[in-house]
Amino acid sequence: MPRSFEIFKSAAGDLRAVKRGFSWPGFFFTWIWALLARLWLVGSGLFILFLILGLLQLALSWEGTFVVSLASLAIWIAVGLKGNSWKSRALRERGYLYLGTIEARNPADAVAKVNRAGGTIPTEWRVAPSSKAIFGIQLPAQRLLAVTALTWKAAFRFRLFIVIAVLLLGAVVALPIMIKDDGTAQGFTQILITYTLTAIASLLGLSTLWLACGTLARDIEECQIQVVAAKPIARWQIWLGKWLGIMSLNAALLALAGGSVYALLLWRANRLPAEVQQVLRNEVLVARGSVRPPGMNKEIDEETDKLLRERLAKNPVTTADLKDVRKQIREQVKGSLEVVPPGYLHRWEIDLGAAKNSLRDKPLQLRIKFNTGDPTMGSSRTFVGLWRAGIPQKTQLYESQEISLAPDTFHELKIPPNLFDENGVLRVEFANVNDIPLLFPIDEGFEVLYPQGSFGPNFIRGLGIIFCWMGLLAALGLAAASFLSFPVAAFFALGMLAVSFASSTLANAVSEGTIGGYNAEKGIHGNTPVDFVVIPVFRAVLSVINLAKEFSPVEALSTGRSITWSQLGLAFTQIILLLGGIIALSGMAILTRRELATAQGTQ
Amino acid sequence: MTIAETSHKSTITDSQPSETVISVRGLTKVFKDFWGRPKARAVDSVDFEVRRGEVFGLLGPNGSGKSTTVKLILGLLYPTKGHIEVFGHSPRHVATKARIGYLPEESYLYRYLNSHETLDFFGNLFQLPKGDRENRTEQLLEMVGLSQTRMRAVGEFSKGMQRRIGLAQALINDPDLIILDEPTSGLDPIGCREVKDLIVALARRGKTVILSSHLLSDVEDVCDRVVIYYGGKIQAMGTLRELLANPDAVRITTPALPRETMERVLGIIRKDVAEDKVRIDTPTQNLESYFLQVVQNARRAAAETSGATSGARVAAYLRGDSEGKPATEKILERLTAPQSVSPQPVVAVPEETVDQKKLSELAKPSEPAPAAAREPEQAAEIEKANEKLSSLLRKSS
Repeated sequence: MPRSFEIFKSAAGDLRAVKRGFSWPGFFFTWIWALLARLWLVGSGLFILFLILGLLQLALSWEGTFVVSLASLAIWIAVGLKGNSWKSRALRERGYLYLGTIEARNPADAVAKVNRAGGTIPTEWRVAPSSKAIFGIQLPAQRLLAVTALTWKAAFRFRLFIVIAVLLLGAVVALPIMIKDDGTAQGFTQILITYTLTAIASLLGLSTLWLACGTLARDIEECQIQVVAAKPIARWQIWLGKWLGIMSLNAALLALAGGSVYALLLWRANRLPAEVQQVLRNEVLVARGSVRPPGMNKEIDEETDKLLRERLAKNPVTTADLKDVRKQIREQVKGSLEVVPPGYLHRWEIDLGAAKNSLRDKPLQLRIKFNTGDPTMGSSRTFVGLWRAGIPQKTQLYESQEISLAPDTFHELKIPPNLFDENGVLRVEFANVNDIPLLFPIDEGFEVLYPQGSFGPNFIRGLGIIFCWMGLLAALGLAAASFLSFPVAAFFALGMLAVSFASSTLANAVSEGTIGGYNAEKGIHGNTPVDFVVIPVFRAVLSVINLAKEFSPVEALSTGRSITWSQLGLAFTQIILLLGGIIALSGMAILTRRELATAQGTQ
Repeated sequence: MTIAETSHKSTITDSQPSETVISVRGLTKVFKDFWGRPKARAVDSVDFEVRRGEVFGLLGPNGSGKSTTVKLILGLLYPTKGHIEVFGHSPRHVATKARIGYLPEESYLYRYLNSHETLDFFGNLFQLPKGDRENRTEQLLEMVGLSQTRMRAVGEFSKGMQRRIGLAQALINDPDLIILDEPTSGLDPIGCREVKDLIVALARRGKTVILSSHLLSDVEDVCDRVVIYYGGKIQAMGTLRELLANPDAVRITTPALPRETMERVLGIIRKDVAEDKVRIDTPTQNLESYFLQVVQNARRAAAETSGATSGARVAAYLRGDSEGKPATEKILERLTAPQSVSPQPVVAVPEETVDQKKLSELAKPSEPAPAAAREPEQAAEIEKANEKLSSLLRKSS
């Protein structure tokens, strides 16, 4: 593909060609590239900058490292964007004369072309001068930004922005009036965060899909895109410009709605009595790190296999039943690890890891949930337990009074500071003083929470993950509109969204290994040939959906848990770059390949 | 037909520029249904070339394949068979589109933008710097007579006004190739005249214009060469002179003659030609000229209108006037301008009825006219062509 090169001529007649646009060598090799291109000042400046960033990276914690990495990325991009114009300027300063800009395959080809033409550039070879930089950045951004600005204008002129903003604010104002809570300030705040953020995410998600489908599909149907595509803008730039437009609208709406929720939370918190406020700021309006006991899957599987072998040695079963038998044994093994019989102790040992250094003299919280394993007991009664934390002879010890707790719900117990040993290991024990066994589920029965940061930045990071979801939905809508007409694209995108909401059904089918239920008459499960095809497909779909769904910012915020920068970075990578990127590339490819007109004018 | 146009046409035809702007070979477009079954053969084995500086007409009845050809040239549709090159590149080559201006057959503009925003948006797509965008937008709005309605949404415009803003957006980049699909549809006669004047002015600057139309008078007034489509195939192609010349007849037009002189002339003619083959009549103006004269008189009486005003002169940058360039640069440009671009001197004739001032501006020489020595010969040729086309117009009306 021909690219544009600026041609410079020295007094001695020596020709030099500098590519116009993004400099990939500059992007990848920054200061090395600059020094090789004899940009001494830029090269040494970049070298010093990277040296400082490198040292910072060594000195800083995990989150600091992430910020430093982002800064490095920004510098790479800046060098890529500006590199070639720095080169042109340096040549001018060295006395080279700018002859003009021509199209060629590479710099050598550009110089050879001009040499063949006798060291001058014929008029018809000339390419239009590049536009002036916007915000100091010179790139196809002017076109992208034009399409982005167009999307904004459409959103305002069709009053979409105003309507969505009013709906979002309405949800923030109306939900606190309508919701029912457990009467405590924490309970109310948790529900408030959950409901308002869920409402914002749903409303914004739907409007994003609708707008994304509409903005492109309508342009194609009403033929405006024919005029736009007849201009020197690549179709992927039209696509990306629209995505950026939708995302900047989302950013504004999310900031507006999120800001209102945040202000509402603080306003309500400030009106509470001081001691309630303190509890609220410790349990909900906070960013807490979390450590769970290590996963036991490996041990459970080993034990299951051992028991299965013993069982098979005694009573052989058919191959068809083997799966079920194994499943049952596994449940038994898992149950035996979870259960605390009456009069027994259950012990958890938690390694706080690197966090231990920052947790000296700070109280920790235990987040626990148990059930009775007997549905008839229900939540009609509470159960008493004794809790002890610390390691005798090694650390201080904490022993609780008898605490009465309800089953099937989460509880948070505060324990005093400094109960973990020098390696950061915290031991917690529970004594069951009831007359029936209690079960602490392995995956969510026990968790240690510790203060990690403040609520504000955590809230912003949570909104950041919601924003990533919107990015994915915008990409999905635009991709659908790249090949479907508006209503069909909207239905298609909504259908895809519905599939992602049905992920638990998919997960069930995958874990059971069949899409059909158990046929009692025939004694078989599902439909084997269909399952053979469908289950792997379900598994693949599920793993794709989980890339986006494994983040739960709303739950984390409502339970005062921290959403780290690395989680946000991971969400951005998985949701926007990986999933969104694949969808976006498909959408752009389809739009680039398709015909944008029909013979009959309006489609 | 005005003398300015005629002079331009003769110039182009005489100089025959050879640089090929568009080359179409064996072009076929078959539209298919959902299942891939052929539905309609819109364009069928079409070949033609358009050369630099030409005004090239695509003529044909509705549904004959003109718009499809235009969309194939623009890369909005892809050929089923055949090959298209625009400035030596594929129609899908993005950078080439910086040299093209396109007015589609209907107003495909964003209805929620006003005229100023519309032009600014398209200017951005050409990466024009802000100053240039502003200048060109103002000049274009002035030219198409929409400077009074710059803040009104395009969706509220009448069809004619939408055509005008569509034309303006097609010219924002000062294109080398202008593709106009039915440019005069929906325009009032003044608008039609202005569009045709504009086409002539653009061609004089060496721009290539493709005009797709089913209106014969549009094509006839401005085109150097035409192809005539029917059923997706080219039925005829050539210069208007080639297509319209009638070598078996001669027409003589003179000022009113005394009866005796007439008798003498007729007597001489009757010696060679049978009486029933000789026709005598008085030349009349065509309706367009007459209409323009009436409107011009009304305008002199300062009548007000709420619609589009009559466009002003062609935007300076489209006439080739520099946009704030220093005088030395202008001189250099003139010296290096291709020969075919140089305008010809205007020859006045008594029956001329259109806005003299505008036309003389359009045809104003931007360099010392190199062809001044050929003036008398050319004037005669121009007059001949003018007469011929006027008679054709009368026939068609």
